[in-house]
Amino acid sequence: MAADISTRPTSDQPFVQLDRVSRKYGAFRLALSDASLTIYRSEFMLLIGGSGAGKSTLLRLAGAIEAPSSGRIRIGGEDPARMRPNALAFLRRSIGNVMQEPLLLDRRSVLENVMLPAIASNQTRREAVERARAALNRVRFGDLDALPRELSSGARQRVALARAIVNRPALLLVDDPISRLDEDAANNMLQLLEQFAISGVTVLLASQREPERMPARARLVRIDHGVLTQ
Amino acid sequence: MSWQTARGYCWARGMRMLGERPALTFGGVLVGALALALPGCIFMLAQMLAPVGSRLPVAEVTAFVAPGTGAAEVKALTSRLEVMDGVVRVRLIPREQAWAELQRRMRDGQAFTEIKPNPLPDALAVEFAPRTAVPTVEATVAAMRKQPRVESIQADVEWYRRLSGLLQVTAGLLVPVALVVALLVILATVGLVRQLAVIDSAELRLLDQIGAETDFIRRPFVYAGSALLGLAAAAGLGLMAAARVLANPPLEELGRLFGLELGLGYPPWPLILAFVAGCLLLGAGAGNFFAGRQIALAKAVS
Repeated sequence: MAADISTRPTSDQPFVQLDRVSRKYGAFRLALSDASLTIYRSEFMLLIGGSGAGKSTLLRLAGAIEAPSSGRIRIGGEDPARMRPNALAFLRRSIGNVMQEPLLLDRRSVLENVMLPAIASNQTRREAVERARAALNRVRFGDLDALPRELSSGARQRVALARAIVNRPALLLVDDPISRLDEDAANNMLQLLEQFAISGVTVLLASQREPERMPARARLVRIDHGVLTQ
Repeated sequence: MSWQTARGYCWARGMRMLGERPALTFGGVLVGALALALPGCIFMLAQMLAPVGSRLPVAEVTAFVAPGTGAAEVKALTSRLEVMDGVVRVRLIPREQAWAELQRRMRDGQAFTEIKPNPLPDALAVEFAPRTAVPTVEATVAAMRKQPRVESIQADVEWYRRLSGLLQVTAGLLVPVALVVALLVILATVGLVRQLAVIDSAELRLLDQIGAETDFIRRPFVYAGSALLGLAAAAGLGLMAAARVLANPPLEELGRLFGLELGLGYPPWPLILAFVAGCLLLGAGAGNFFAGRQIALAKAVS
């Protein structure tokens, strides 16, 4: 029986809906099993699960980066599987993604990395620079000319977060940013994400452990071996 | 304007793609230039040999007229020879002219002054049409031998047979060799553009994830591929120019020995422009194709 984790909505408008979604890799590896979940607009959802529990898979599905093996996903009322390539690209531009291992372009400066989504969404260069500076300022990162390979993993996470918010996304997916951070840095990151949720951004944060200080608005969902539990 | 920013970004991105890998870019341009210069040089060679080739293999035989043949009979014989298969021209070399020429050519002309009377016969130089088949020449020569008032025939048909064979083989090989070389050019350059796309698969994956449209993702590869082959074409033309500078003095010397005008000339300008445009398009097409494939691969992996 599918587990529907659709309780405690912070708004009554569903934004991401998973309906009996499964994701298989190859013939045998079932990363997500029959998951049903509704994430509401401007909700802050915390997805907790151990390594290999299926958190990253769920985030990739919610971010329309992958398609489910079975079941149905709706993001903002649209089914990504039925969208045309350019419409899907448009949808992805409204989703900010911070992967567990941030994919940063090591030969480009931090500023250029953060500008990239703005340029790809046809912003002028001036506006892209302004947005990138604002995003980096928001995550409190000042070394704009640094190269990503020179940065610590925490700093890389912040740069990836800045890149994720540069297009002012409606949905922010953040994969395990706090596991490798000390307590203060983890709390700062959580505060930051909470502020995004307060300002109307829907946030789905995956983590291996429960944070020391649980954000007040957060809804907690657990995942274990690809199965969602309350 | 924002579309200019996106295109400017893609152009800068494409150029940086080449600049960030100087060894690959330099190697690519070099391989491409060599590969493109080779058919270019073959073309210049073919262009040089085409007029020479049509002149060289002309078969020519000499029919010596029997002594005591009158002018009217020589004229009638000339007319009969002119209508023979493959013959385009028959030229009379009077015995007096042949004798004077022989004396002029010999160092010790004195020895000839003592020989009297002139022992040479009138001769008819018979010229065949260019590229006349060897069996036709042989049959015509045999028919000439049977003509009345013909004393003897001097014909080096074996030389003509060898030269015709050599030219036929050369001409036959030229097109397939040029095609094979052109194919190698395409494979080599397309392979290099492919390398660029393979190296940048992580970036392709990222661009796909952040919602960049397909055109935006592909365009840097299109520009980079086009620039790579454009540079290769320019360098190839440079190599052709260098080959021309190096080869022309000895070729001209050789030509003087054989009374021919030998020398490599540039292909016509429209052909050069078409060549460069073709390279630009080929590079762009290869960039577009491999970026597309790599995006699909990156999606499958992620």
